[in-house]
Amino acid sequence: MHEDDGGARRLDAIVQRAQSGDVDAFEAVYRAHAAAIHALCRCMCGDDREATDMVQDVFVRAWERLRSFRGQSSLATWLHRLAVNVVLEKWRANKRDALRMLDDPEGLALDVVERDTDTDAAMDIASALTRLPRGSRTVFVLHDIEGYAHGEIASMTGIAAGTSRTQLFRARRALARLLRA
Amino acid sequence: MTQTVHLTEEQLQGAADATLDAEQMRVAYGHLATCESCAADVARLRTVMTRAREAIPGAPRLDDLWPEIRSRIEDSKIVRPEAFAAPAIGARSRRPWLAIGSVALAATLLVAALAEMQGWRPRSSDGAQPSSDVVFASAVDSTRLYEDESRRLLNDLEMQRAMMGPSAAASLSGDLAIIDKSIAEQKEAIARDPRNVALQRLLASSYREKVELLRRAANAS
Repeated sequence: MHEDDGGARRLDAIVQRAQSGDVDAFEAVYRAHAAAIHALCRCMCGDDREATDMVQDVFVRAWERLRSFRGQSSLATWLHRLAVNVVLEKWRANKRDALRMLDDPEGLALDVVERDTDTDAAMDIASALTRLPRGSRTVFVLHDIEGYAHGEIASMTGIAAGTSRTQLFRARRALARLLRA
Repeated sequence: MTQTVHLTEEQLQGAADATLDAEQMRVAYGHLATCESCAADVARLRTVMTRAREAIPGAPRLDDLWPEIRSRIEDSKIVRPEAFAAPAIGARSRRPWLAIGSVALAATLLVAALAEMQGWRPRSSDGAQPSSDVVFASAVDSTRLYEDESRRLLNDLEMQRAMMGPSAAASLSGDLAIIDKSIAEQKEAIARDPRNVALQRLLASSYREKVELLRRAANAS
């Protein structure tokens, strides 16, 4: 208990130093959270290289916005929300990707999933996620992994809450087939 | 023979993630208690959700990313000389020495102007802005980093310098002399006004110019 308190106080002190412009302290923040943020970006992007680029952008943005972190949520939660926003903004900036966000999961995506289930053994969740179209994958990650409600996902992505729900259902079904669940 | 009516997709998914309201949940669970097929389907969906939460892919080593992130942060911390003296469009890339000269000139003029404005201080901070102490510390930090880096690059370049063509070596020496002159003037101004943030930022910018020049020279040789 006391050790936990001590750890939390040390973390708070590091965050405060980073908020005051101490880059070395921010490096400690980076090292503590980079893996989790990379995992989130990897799940959303389905691609290591894109995820790595996103991680850089997330932490540069985090540095710029760190003074707005007031501690109402944990720093991890704040960073995750920031990361989601950075990824979605990047996609929006690219019109082609923005269109892919709204893709209809009934088409090509399910064909790919069906083909995979015909030929491959059950795959791990990370590989299975990469097989989903971006729209379904994004909604699945935001809802089932990050815990956002459909209303929040709708406002973040610009799709309707009903579309978010449909994408989620289809993503789960596709993953169940890929995972042989 | 009666045909079993199974749960709808909405009910199955809602039962799996417990997002149905109390009445819907009561109906769904009543059915699940008697229907193996739907119960297995809900279990399958829950397995997917559980595995997704538990098996987030491990991250590769991310240590290599930090230097680039730090570099981008440092870049954003300093005021670029271009903000004071915008070069003619296209001139910078074709004739870098002109850009260096104009930067140095702008820096010199700014130092003179700031020296005239004794007692001038940046606008006092409010809640939305970092305090002047923080800004000042960041500028000093940037200066130190670029100064160290320029010293290191200069050492590395000493050997290569001997192998440069005479005109390239002369050009590099000339450019370095211009930047060093600016740096010397800025240091003198800072000695007279040690807490002047604008001067510290200007000094950081000059060192940054020096680092970029040395990097270009190292890559070219």
